[in-house]
Amino acid sequence: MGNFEFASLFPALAGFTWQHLVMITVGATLIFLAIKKEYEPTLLLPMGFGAILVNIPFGSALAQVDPSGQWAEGALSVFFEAGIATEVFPLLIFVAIGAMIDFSPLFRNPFLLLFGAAAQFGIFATVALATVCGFDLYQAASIGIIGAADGPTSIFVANKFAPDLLGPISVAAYSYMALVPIIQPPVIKAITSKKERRMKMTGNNSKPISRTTMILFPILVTVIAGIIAPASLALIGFLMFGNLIRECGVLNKLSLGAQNELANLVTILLGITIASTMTAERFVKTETLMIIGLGLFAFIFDTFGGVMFAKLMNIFLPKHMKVNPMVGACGISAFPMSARVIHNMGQKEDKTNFLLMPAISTNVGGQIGSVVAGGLILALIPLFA
Amino acid sequence: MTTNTMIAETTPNETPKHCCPNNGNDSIQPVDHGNCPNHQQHQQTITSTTKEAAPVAVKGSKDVNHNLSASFQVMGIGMLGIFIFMVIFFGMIKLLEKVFPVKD
Repeated sequence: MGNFEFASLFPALAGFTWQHLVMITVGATLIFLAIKKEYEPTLLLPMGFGAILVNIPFGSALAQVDPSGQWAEGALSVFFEAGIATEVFPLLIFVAIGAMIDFSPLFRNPFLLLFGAAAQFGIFATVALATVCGFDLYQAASIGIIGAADGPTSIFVANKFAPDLLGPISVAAYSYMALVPIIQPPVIKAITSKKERRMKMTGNNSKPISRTTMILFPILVTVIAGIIAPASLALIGFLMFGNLIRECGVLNKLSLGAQNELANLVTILLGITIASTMTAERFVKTETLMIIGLGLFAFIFDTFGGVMFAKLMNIFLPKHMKVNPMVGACGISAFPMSARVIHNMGQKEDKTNFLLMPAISTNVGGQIGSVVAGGLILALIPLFA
Repeated sequence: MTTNTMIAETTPNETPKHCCPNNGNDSIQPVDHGNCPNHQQHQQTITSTTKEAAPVAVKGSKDVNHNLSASFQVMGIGMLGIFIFMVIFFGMIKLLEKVFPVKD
């Protein structure tokens, strides 16, 4: 009787399980990392708060009782159905990212685009490892795409292939993007010599680019991607649409709006809505720990792939064109974090070594590469599963 | 049964009934269509209704050997595909620079 009264009076308190407490601790940790360590605060803070929100038993955020006594969807469920299930939120984020990207560094050193391909190796290596861990091919692909180091691409692919794993995949993707300065340096140091790290790179970093070229690039990329891999069109098309707004020169207000208001609003909604998948029942599983581990593996092998490809290229390139192998590691999408890390590593080895411009060019190539990789994964996995 | 009533009667959690053979879609139960005049409409309705259902995890094979072998194939084709894309983009940048040089 006493128990019944307690449960009636405080249903939330009576409904708490240790799994809920774990998830609230996870939420608090994400908030701590966002505020204290400034690890991707724009995403981790809403996700952390959302994790707390959806793990209070009988809370109305996910489902609520309407006046007629029927269960109805709560606000977060409505946001999920409208924004994540339909893929609208990640695609809007792509418009914002496109408006933020300046492709001109890439135009000055276009061959560095190739590193944007090589550094996607971690994605595919992780897909293979994830299948060994017992995940099916769709789940493995969703986990592997954490290696794209590109949050919206991870969300987009995971939502299509493994929506039940969306929460842990998003947390892993954004956490590791924030941890690039911690993950990349030891991997790079382990596979490069001091002499390689001190290599200087020359390049024409002030070459002017015509406006027509900058305008045509996003249009042509969209058309080519659409023809070769139609499944990648939504991802690449929205990214390039944002970039076209930026480069056309007549939509400055829209460009600024996409870079600021759109990015900020959708980021708030995206973060807290993803948290709706972070319920104790879905998140407190061994699978989550495996996904976190596999995500780290993906980032390590991205770095490995980029550096090794640079070493391979150096065998064939003439002396004046040789690439500092560290720059290969910037072929991931974490922009501009990865480029800054590599520049700082170069400076540590030799104060007169300025790698920022080639590193930025490679990093921009990585942004394209990650979206292309996401599109290819979407197209290829159903053929082999 | 008209197309509209078909939509109204089918919720995302129910298996839609269809007058025609299932064309390989296991989620659709075939029933005798007789001389159904709206055969084509029904097919379209079933397809769109199935697509509109709430997102559900796509189930792949759990056979580790098959998945591992498939993942290596995806790796080979995927990496090659990304490089092909990048080489095309590289060529495109070079071409754009040639066709549209900066005017002083």
